[in-house]
Amino acid sequence: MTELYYFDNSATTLKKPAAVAEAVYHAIADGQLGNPARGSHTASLNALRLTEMLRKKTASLFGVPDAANVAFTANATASLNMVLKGLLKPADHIITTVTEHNAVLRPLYQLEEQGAALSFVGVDAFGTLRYPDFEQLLRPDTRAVVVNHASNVTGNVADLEWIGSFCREHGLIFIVDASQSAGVLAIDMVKQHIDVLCFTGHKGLYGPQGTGGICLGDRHLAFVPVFTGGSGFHSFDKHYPVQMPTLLEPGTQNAHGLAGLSAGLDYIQQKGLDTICRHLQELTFRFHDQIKDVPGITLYGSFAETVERVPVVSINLEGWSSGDLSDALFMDYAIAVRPGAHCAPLIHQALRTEKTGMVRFSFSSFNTAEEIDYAAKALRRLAEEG
Amino acid sequence: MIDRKHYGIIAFPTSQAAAAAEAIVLDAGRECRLIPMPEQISAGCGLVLQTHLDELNAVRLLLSERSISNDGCYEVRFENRKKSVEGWHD
Repeated sequence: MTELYYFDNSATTLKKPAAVAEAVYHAIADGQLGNPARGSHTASLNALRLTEMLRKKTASLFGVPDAANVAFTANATASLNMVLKGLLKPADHIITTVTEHNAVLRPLYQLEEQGAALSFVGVDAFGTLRYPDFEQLLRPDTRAVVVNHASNVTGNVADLEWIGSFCREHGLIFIVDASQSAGVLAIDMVKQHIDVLCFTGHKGLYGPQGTGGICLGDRHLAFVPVFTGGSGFHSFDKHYPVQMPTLLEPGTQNAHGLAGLSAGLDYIQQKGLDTICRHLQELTFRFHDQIKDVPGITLYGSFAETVERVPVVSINLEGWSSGDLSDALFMDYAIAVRPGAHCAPLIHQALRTEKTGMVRFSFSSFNTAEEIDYAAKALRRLAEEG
Repeated sequence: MIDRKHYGIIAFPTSQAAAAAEAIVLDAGRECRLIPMPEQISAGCGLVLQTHLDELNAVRLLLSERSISNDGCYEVRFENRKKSVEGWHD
């Protein structure tokens, strides 16, 4: 089988630590994990203890004040839907940004149809947020700010500490989509004044698909649960429990997947978030520096040396559609990238790539400098071929 | 081994809190178990923390110090095949 040079890690990390696969395998094969909190027998309690251990690890990684404020979900999209629809109301004004993914935009558009008002912070030519917009968009009825930590299109990173301070100053709920940054950048919910953090498990945290979560900060927020069902407690109550984490965890948890996510968090802890972050920055700038002068190339995002980034490099090449270029990379060089639009329509409009899309290279801690050099050479050859 | 005929229990608002309590109590070197919620407290499902009755106050204090809130402490007694659950006060 031909080796695959996989650079589509912003979609999902393909290579996982061996311990993740082993954890999922053993979670099923050993027959020791039952339904968490659905009985007092060993199998049920094993699953309960596993999820509680993972809550503590997750709280530690993101600076969550209380492990009980970590709830597990199927992915970031599920998290964002539960948060946005459970917390925000039709009378609210919400500030968000043009860098958001449809996982944020579409739930917000649903709220807009019910009467909510939306305002969008714009970007400059490099896709960097225009921070003065936050103040200018503020209204008396503004209730929340929803921001992705890092763009899945440009790789630019939002200044959470600045936005968090802005939210605190004006009494706004600060909701962060950490899909691209969890396990890649340092996140501290207290320091960055984050009220709600939504994450997925299958990208930078190296867990299995079907895992993710919601973390709440130290401020009490009144949620209306979007999903209700079995909770393991208060079976005869018509209403679903309002206590965290049960509030955001209706039904049976994905204990088998969470076993894998737990191993993914162990990998990050053992390797060190700083080490991972540094490696990814080196790969990103190594690739950028080798391709920036390829004839006909357009690079998106800010690559100033002082700027924090996630490992995303999106490009277009003159004479190529993004689909054709990605297909040529795959067919001729076994390179896997993502073409087209990236479920983030507003940033494509802002950067005028709604028709062309972009070819996105995105890296993980398993990528090597050799792989980066190979991809850069492949791109240069295709550019020369035309 | 906790006396199965006479023991203390602590109820919690969530399974997560019950599991967190179990970990804290075990870490402190005290004996405890998670057992089904007695129907005398709440008809339905859920877990409570079982302890030695003479350690119930100490366990309650330990959990309080670690910010684990509870939904009540109870004394459970089996006599003549009848189970009684009564609120526990210092």
